[in-house]
Amino acid sequence: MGIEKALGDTIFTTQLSKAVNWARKWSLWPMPFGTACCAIEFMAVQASRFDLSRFGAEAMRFSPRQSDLMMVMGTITRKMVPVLRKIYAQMAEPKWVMAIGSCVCSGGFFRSYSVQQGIDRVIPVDVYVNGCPPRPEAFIKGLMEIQKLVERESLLDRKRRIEEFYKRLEQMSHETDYKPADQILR
Amino acid sequence: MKQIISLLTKYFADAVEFKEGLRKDSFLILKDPSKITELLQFLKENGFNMLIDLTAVHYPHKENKFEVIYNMLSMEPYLRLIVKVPLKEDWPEIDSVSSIYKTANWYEREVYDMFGIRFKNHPNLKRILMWDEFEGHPLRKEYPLEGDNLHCHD
Repeated sequence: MGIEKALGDTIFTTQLSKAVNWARKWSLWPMPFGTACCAIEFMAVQASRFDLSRFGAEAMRFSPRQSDLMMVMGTITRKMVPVLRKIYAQMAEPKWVMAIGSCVCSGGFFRSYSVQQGIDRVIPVDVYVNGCPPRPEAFIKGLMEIQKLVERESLLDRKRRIEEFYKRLEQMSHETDYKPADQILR
Repeated sequence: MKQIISLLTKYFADAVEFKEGLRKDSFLILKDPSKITELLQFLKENGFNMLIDLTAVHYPHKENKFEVIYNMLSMEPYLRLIVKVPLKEDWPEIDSVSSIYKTANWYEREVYDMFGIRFKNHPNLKRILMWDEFEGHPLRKEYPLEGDNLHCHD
């Protein structure tokens, strides 16, 4: 471009959204939503051996209003679902969600009435990390996938994606074949 | 233990049946569910001063669909007794023992929540584990395994 020719190596030009996404990618502020043993594994991810701060995501905020990446780690019971949904709603946009561990992804081995069978029926999930609990390497791989997503996706795409998710959820809730027990006592 | 057994057979006659357990415990099957408060009052007066647990089992294919189980403990002398009460109906009712053992209050609420067994004269019979709007009783065998996982309660 012309301006680079005139000023040499001191500047370079790019799209604004790309610059913003690049900055955002290296300064994710995670919100650890830790309910079980995956959160214990997460301590190792943050500690010196694996060191999540190499990816610019070391600023853990326990307030959803200060963070943009929600890391859901641990079994989500059905009584916890309203809390999860509320905390997700409190996060400022743009926001991303990582589902870490098999309980969060699919209910894991808790195939039971009391456990939510995968949080992707409640909030939109961007990256799934499997394992019970996942190795710290898997956590980091998951974070790198989030970084790729942040870099790739413009904010409008993101908004559309979330809206589509809620539309699909609405459809699913009408299609359910569940029937309650033949008689309900209150 | 022998003393208690002879006392029980004396007072309750045909209503109770004894079975030896594997260890130091023994089973007492109460055939007449209406006598449960009477039986537990009797046991409390005869040393069984603690109700360890109160739970139930659903046997959908048996003649007696439900079994309510009372685990009793006597501290002095050290004895354990498991009282089983078979119930025939699909949606049974049994007398509450919460006036005899205070701890039965929450146990009975749990059994009601999980199995739908109603306890007569219970002071506050409502759900304890699941939320109030929850439909069905999850430990009954006809309840779907994963339950209703699409609807949430908020």
